Amino acid sequence: MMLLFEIRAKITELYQRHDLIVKTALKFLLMFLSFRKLSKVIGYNTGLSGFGVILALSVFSAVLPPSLMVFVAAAYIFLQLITASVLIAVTVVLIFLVMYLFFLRFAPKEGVTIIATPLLCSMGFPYVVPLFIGMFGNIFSIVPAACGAVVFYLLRAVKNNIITIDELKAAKDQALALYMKVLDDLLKNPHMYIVMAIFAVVIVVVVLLRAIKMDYAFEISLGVGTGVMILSYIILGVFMYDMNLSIGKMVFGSLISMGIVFVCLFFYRVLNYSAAEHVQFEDERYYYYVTAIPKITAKSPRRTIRKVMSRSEDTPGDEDEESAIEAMNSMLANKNNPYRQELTAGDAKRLRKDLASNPEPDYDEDEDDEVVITGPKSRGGRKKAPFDSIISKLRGIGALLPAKKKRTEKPVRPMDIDEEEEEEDVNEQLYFAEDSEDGEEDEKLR
Amino acid sequence: MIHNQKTRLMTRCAIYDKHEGADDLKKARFFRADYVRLEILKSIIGVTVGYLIVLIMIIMYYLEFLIKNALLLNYKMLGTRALAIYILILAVYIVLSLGRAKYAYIKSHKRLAKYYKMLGRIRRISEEQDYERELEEENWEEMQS
Repeated sequence: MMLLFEIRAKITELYQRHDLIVKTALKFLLMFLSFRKLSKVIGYNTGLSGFGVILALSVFSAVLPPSLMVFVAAAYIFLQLITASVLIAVTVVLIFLVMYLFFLRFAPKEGVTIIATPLLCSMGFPYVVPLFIGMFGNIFSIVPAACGAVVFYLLRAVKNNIITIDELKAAKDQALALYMKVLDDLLKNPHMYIVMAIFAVVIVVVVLLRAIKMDYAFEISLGVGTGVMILSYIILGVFMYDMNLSIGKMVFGSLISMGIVFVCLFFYRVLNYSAAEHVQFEDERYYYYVTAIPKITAKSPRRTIRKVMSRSEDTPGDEDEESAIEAMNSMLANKNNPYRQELTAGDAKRLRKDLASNPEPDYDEDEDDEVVITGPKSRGGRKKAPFDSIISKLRGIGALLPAKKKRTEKPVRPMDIDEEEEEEDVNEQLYFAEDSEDGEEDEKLR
Repeated sequence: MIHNQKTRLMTRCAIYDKHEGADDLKKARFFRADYVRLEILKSIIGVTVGYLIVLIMIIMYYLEFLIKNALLLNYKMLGTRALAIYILILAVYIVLSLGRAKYAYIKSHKRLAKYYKMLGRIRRISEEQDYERELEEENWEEMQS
């Protein structure tokens, strides 16, 4: 297992160091495969279907932003189709335009989804699309995924109706009939609607489940999403409509897709729920309910790095800890303490002993332990660290369960780090994290 | 000498500038109401053009039927229906655009407020550095004289 984590750490480090190159290479691969597939499916223009042209176009597209990648792909399709039929080429472009004006205008960054979906569908592997989007996208990503399915079935309809260019030339006056056939094939094809519906259902299920505050939410949502997808394909694609689907192949493909997404998830985020800490504390304005989940990280062997920097001595002192123990003791001794009744004498004794014997762990930055904190973060959370541990210990023996305090804040996902009263996106956290002198933010930025 | 805090702040500002800053600054040129109106206008244009394209494609699809029954068709009813659908779609898009634009503007405004706050901190640090530099120069001159 540690070997896996080491490999993960190495790959992550490599990706972080060369992210621009990796992203460009992935985009190039995607566009190259797409152009190759397009040239096979609608390769009416032999000049455009050549390897050199495809390579050049892929290189060109790889350096463009996603929205322009879609534009290049649409232009390629138009140029291929215009050789066969001007009307069909114009129709395809108009359908692209309608999709853009009605839907994709609101999601300019989802260009990769629109290109990848038809590619994966044509490779007989559409199962990975909803799982991946559900896991890493949001609920609005249904729209580009559905548009991708439309593109796939549109190109298929064109391919089914335009057999050869010679036949087309022989029947030049049949352009309108061809147009009607293509639209019939597209709009009266139940498979397209089935695929879109399954995509939508799976994405919704995965997105909703992974947002639930529970352990292994991502893994559970992935498993349930795969199950829902398999069931949907069996019910809709096999029993209700004949999609020429092999159940074994479909189930195998779905499981493989689940594996792929799981691997992506492994690289995306690995959380160790067994060591999760649930603590609660308060300041003048808020109650805080915090779930701290350490990430599993494995240090890859690195060269020695000598850091030349100033160092401030702001570690929590012994005085804090002693005062915390004193406060705790006085609280336990206080007869008016409402929680006192819930503590047995043995528990209190054990607690005192624990507090006296176990010193608080060092709260200095530890590179091995990254802590994900949810709930509003206290300013000066570090200084309150001894109280956290005491309260968490009390919680552990059932003494300070928040039975008498109502939750004032909405529960948040374990992965989010909330710093403000409202939820903020990850980027915002990155940009505007509270400044500290210990270089923690520098680590994040790096 | 490198000022750690200033460097960190500037790095964050630069990252923000690179990603969302440009869009946010564009939005900040407008008042919120103006921005929302502009977005709604864009939606109206987009929906109108898209709807026209769809209408043209439908007409093309039923062209033979339309030519055959050109004299028998109830154009008033067809026109009313097309207009009603258009207004319905337009209303939905206007509402969606309104919500989306308001939300986006408020979010960008918050981000920009923090961004300007950070710029203010950077400026203060720079001023402090300038002041310290001047003091050092004065001291140096005094020592020389």
